[in-house]
Amino acid sequence: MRTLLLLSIVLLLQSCLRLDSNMYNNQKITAYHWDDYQGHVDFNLDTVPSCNFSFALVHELTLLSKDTVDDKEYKISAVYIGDYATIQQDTVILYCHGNRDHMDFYWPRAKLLANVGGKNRFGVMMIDYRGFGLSEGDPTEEGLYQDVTTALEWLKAKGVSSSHLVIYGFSLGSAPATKLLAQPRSTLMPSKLILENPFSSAELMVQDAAQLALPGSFFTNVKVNVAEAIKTVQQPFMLLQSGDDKFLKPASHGEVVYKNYQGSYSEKHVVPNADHSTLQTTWGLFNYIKAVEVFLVK
Amino acid sequence: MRIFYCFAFLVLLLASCAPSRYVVPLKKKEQSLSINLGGPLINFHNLVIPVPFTSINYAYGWKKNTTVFGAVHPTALAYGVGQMELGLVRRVHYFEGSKIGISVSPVLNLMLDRWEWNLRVYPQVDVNVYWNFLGDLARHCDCPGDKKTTAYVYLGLTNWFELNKTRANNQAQPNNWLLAPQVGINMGTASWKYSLEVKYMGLFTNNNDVVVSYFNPISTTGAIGAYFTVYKIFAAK
Repeated sequence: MRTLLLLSIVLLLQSCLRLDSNMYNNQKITAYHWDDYQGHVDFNLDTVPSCNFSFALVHELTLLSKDTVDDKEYKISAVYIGDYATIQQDTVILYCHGNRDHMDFYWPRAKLLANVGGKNRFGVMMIDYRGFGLSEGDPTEEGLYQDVTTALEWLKAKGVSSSHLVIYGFSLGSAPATKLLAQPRSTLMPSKLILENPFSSAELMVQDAAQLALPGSFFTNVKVNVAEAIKTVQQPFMLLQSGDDKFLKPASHGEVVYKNYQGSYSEKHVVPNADHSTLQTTWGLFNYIKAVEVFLVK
Repeated sequence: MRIFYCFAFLVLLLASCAPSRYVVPLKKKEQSLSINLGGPLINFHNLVIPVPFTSINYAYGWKKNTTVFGAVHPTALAYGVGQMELGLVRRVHYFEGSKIGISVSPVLNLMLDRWEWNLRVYPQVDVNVYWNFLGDLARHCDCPGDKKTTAYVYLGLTNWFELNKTRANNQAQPNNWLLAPQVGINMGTASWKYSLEVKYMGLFTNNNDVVVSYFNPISTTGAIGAYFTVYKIFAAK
């Protein structure tokens, strides 16, 4: 037994494996297909032709995102839906997508946002974090923050002002959206925050699944903690919450984030019977875009 | 959405990825070294296989009806978490006529990570009912006429206890008592024994939308684990 214990201590000190890479459900692809994407999506807008817009307003972009840890530069893919000629006057929604595949998967959601308040009334920007879609590298927590910061810098260079910028985070996207308001890395600061089905923290997710109060450090170096970060956010905040989210229980995730917000204005929309990925379809697409519009113009 | 899910589900499995160590106590002063391999069943290239979690165990027959044991988990160690078990198994009753016994096994699970040196202690109590259908496990002698091979089947419950009342983000800990039922068979000679156990873990945890494809033909919650253990028994000197 003593030998076993000594061997265990040596192994413990030598070990270096982590489960971090298991956290991300990214998928690499060779091209984006947007409306022609044939893979699985949560919903599509085929039956809502009024949501279509001219592809002349869809700009595929490649940005350079510097890694603050290894100092490397990664090419990350992005899309801007809107008119470059009016970008300085337009209000822009920076959409931080969730933890699935790539931008094609989230394209219907971005299209819906491009229809808020009328066709292309607001510009919409979406990026693939590193390791997702055509973006180089592998996903990391720091990469999420840095890639979204790169998008902010691109918008700043295009002349977008803080007062005309709103950041929207869905699920995993709630991490960079909230963190970059709490601890800004760019002088361009979004003036409003929208979170759709956010999670409290990586540690709480682990504990939800394990049913035990295990420390996050047992499994990961990731320190994402939206529920803490939101405490220092002052910008107006809208929470869109699926009432029957089976993946992130509202009581321990969205509700906690909402409760911890101490800023100037908040509103919450709970959609009964909606699951994690079905908020828009359960609520009704037009109810959804109307609620977002009302918040944006408030 | 599957954010973090496979990762989070692995946590559950790491936390309860072991079978009942000993269901029937060793004879007094006997020793045993065993290696256990197994975990939740997954679909892998058209095959159903258990995730190969491992543990190494040592046991000593302390008293006639009580064996003490310890175990370490090499898989958890590889991920920087020292997970160790210290426990005992005690036969609380044996019905001579029917050869049915009841044993209770309190265990202390200690976990310490090398990244932030966080420590957790989880008490565990396994309760098993076994039926000795071949040979005679209860007789502590090598009596003439004893069959060389013994075997028993068992049915039991693993009970884990969470001592913390709160968890991350100041949330209340919802469950402080977690259950995992198991069924198993153990057979072998006086020197070598083999056991196979099937355990139902995470009874109330959704197993859909998980990157790892768990094999569970009966429910959308939880995972079925299969464990194989080889025991080398060292006779009392």
